[in-house]
Amino acid sequence: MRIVVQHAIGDPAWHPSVLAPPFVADFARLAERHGYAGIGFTDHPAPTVRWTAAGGEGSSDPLVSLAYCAAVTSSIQLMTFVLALPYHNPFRLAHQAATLDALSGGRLTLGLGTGYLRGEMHAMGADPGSRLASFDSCLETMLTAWSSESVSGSFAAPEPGPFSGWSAREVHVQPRPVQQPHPPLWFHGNSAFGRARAARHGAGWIGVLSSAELAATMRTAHLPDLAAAGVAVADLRRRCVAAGRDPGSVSAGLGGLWPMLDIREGWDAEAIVEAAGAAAAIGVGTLFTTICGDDPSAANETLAAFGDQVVGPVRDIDIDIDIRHEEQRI
Amino acid sequence: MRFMYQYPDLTGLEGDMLDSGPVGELARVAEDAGWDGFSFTEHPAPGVRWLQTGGHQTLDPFVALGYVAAVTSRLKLLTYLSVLPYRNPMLLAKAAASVDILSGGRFILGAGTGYNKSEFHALGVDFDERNSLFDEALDVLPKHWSGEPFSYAGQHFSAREVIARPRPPQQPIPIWIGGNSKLTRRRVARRANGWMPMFGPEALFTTTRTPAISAGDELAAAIAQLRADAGERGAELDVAAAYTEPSVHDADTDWGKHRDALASFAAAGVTWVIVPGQAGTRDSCAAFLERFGKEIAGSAGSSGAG
Repeated sequence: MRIVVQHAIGDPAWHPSVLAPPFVADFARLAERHGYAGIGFTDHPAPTVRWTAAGGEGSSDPLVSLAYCAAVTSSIQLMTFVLALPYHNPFRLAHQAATLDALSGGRLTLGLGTGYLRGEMHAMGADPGSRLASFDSCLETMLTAWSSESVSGSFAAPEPGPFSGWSAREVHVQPRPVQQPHPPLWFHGNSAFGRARAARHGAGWIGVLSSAELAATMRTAHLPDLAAAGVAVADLRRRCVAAGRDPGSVSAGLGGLWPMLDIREGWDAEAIVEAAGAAAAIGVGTLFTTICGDDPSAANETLAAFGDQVVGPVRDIDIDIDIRHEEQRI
Repeated sequence: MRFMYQYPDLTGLEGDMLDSGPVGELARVAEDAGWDGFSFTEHPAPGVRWLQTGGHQTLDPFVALGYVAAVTSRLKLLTYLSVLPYRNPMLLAKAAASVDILSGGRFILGAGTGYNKSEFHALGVDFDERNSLFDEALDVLPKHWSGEPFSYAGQHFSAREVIARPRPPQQPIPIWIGGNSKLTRRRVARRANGWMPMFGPEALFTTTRTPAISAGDELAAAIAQLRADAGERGAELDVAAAYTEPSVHDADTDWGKHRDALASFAAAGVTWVIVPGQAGTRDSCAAFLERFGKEIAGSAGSSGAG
């Protein structure tokens, strides 16, 4: 079982010092040393005042921040957690991802989502009504860009405006990613949309256990517990088989299995290790955690302690990816 | 004068951008050798035809500068240059703010209006609107960087009650604008912190759609006019000019000749010299950085040239 940590700036109560250069470097090195499989940054270039005030995550540019982390680490995976694809142009994003993959020696994993904040989409020139179509078009264009000498194609946004569509003839995307043909793609979202893309193109799928309220905010299906997650994972496996792929080659990831970590509040390590075992039994191979960001030393101490008490002990838990077994149980 | 190294671009379709050496290593060599800054250019969606006819490959400058920020402590980090209309200004502002935060306030946004039509199309941007998009970006960037709630209704772009935090340490992040047109110089005088004039062979001006300026008296006069137009801010404006004499990269070059040329830059009012790297190997680039540092950028004599 692998644990990926979202950087402490993701705590809605973040303090600016957690994004100060020495802290980010310490945090990344500490995560690597304590066995975390990856470090993640989310994508919120223009959040609304309302969402921010209601407890929205803090953020920095994920690709820039991961590049910074790449320079001070050597083995930890660098993950966008997650990029909202409709905010991005496929050629530039393919180029940026390739740049980061090259600079990091092949450690980038792209977590991709559709985005859900209407106000932010508006500010980004993305049309909420066509976010799914724009997601697919962007994805397909990037896949071609990474695997071919050149890529042509266009996407017409229903409401034409700058930054929302594209029309390209023979664009050459470079540098060549170290990971061939492209960095692993993980698809975020509790609904079937993400799993369908993961089964076809993905190295992984990311679901999030949440309250019904949070699921509604994120415009995704509600996954209340591990039983519901198990149904989703079984659906992912079936889709992989239907797509002609080895179901074991697509990982299932899950966030929200425990609340944000804070050493001042403590946690029940035994219960978390047990929950990780239960997640492994339904085929989940990666768990995502958030961490407190209101105080740099608390964040670092949390990272180290949770690493020793949980990340290490769960590493050897085997993931059950037998499809028949899952179907019987569920 | 201060000295900025531009990581080498790679002309054409062949080869890989990183053939010229690991970015972090060269940045450290530059910092140790006494350079003052490190820069990258931007071509996110170059066309095959353009690359076959003299165009060049790049790294994404914001991602690359984020990397350089982690391994250096003193170098200024510049996009030379970022085409402002290529990105939604929110995305641009967030990337710029993140480089500034992670570098402890060392970022400079080098900005241009762009000239590559097919790249505009690929990025979903109307080439004919590039100037008004540029101005809208100049409106939005400081609002985004302020960390305060804001709304904006422009011709191409609007946002309602958004807020971007954490805010970058530099308020605002310095913006240097590239190009020779009157419009560019007016923008610099009114609302930027620096000017990046272009001079060089005639072909450069045809490709990049900017009027020609020669390096001598014409440049001095243009800089003097710019400072006058900027009024009280005139004296603080930076002027960053590229030094493109290819022989500077030769191991046995005549340093006296370069010192003279750079002294004329200084006399014209240039405050930063940008030296484009020559594509090569890690060793050839590192050796150049050290030679130039010893002879010019890091030597006590550099103040003599500026």
